[in-house]
Amino acid sequence: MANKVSMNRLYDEAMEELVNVDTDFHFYYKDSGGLNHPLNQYEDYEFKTLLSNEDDSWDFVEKGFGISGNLKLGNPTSMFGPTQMVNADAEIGIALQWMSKQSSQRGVFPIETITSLTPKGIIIPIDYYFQQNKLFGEVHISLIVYLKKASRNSMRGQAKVPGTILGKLIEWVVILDGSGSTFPIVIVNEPDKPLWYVDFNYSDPLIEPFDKEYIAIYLNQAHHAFPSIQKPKTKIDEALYIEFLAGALQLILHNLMECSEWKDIQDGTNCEEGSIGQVIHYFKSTLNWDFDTPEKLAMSIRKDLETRVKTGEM
Amino acid sequence: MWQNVVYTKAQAKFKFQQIEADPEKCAPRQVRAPFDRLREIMIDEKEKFLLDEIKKINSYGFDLHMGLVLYRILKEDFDFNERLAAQDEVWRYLSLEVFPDLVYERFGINDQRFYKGTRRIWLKSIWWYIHLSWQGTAEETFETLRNNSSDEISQLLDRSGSAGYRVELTREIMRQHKLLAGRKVPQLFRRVLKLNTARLNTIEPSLVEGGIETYVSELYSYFL
Repeated sequence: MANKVSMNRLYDEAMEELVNVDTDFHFYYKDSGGLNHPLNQYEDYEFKTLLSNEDDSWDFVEKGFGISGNLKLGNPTSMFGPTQMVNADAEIGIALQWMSKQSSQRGVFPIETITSLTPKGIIIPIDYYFQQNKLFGEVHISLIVYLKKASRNSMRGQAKVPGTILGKLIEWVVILDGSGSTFPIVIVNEPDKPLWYVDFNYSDPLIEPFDKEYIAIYLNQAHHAFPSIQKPKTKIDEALYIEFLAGALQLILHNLMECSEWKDIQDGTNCEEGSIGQVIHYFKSTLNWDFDTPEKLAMSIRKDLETRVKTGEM
Repeated sequence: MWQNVVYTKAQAKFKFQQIEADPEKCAPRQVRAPFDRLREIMIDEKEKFLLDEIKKINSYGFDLHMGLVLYRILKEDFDFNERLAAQDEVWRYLSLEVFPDLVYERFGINDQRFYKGTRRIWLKSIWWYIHLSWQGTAEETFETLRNNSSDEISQLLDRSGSAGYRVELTREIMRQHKLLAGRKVPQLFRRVLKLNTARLNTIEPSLVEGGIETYVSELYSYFL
């Protein structure tokens, strides 16, 4: 996301400390009888949230999902005053915002109004349900702070336009389709094709997401070696799995190295969140893949994958 | 019916190459049920539209007519929703396996309109144009959109904010666009959408005092 320069005083870390925010939220779904059931959540390596229920029977497409809980503001009045975020006679709003680029939609749901008279330790209950026929892919959910009503005497640096977003209290990125940040592998059934091949359909790797729409590793279940890769049982299977993935990823990287955006990808600059560029930069900066020469790359990818397979991370 | 639609970009590319080789014969020999019914209705509507000799397939009027028909049929008979409409896979399938001849007649051999351009896939673009402009009924929506041009379609789809459309906002922008059609301000729509993009950087329209209606009125009144 591009950095924005704001002329207004915003809800930042210092303000967060002053306000003393405490949150307690959980995800759930409603069954056909309208009863609520909790969903377990865990995070992938990009801190995105994946949801599931005990017996794995919950499916977003059938049931939708909700978020529920309490937001506690220890010192809400600390946001008000001539030297604070807004002046004493202004009103601040709390809203739930959701955004889903993959669903081509976003929305906002106002929740509560905070004034300079709001008592300390106020607890704000929040409950919002996402119907199953609306979203696809990922959704960013956040609780935001905005200017609801401007002060009649706004000080320099204080927002004056109602509706101005002042900051975020908390954010989740929930994955509804897909299994989190993994490699874009598509299983195909083509008797006349090899065990695996890759296909490229990206046009702007700094924007387009790292998924099968743009870069796909095809794994052929018609090939006799397919079971060894899908469920490696022996050390040889494991080695074949690593060879398959390393070969495919090296091809992907070579393809990207030839594009004009490669420098940005290496530096991690101008890459949108979740884009091909950002993920490849992550491989370099966090997983220590060495892009200097093909032989160093081949070595570093295998080293990384072998470590991760051994530790059970993959 | 939709869960069985699996159509990767690679499949689409392959099919498009076949169409490209012999476009005049790209009408599908057989369409899988229930999409055969969808095809029947749409082709019938195309023919009805073209009965009037003044009307051309290569026109905004055709896009609007087919968009309204597609929107209605998908909603009423195909259990269609926003979740499905967001998936290019669905539109690639419809473009290349159900309506390749229709897309070809409208745009010729244009990979962006068939499957490649995520906001350019023709069927997807006309569905979202109707959805983002919907005024409660098909009649009202038609009245709101009838005097527009292809430029409004691309402006609306391309300039309506990052990270997803605000559906209530775009509907209000279209409603007021129609109301102000008499004011002869050059490129008013384009300028309003540009101003909207700039304001969305800091403001959330549904949270302003007076809500979306006031927010949109202020966008237009800036230029009037």
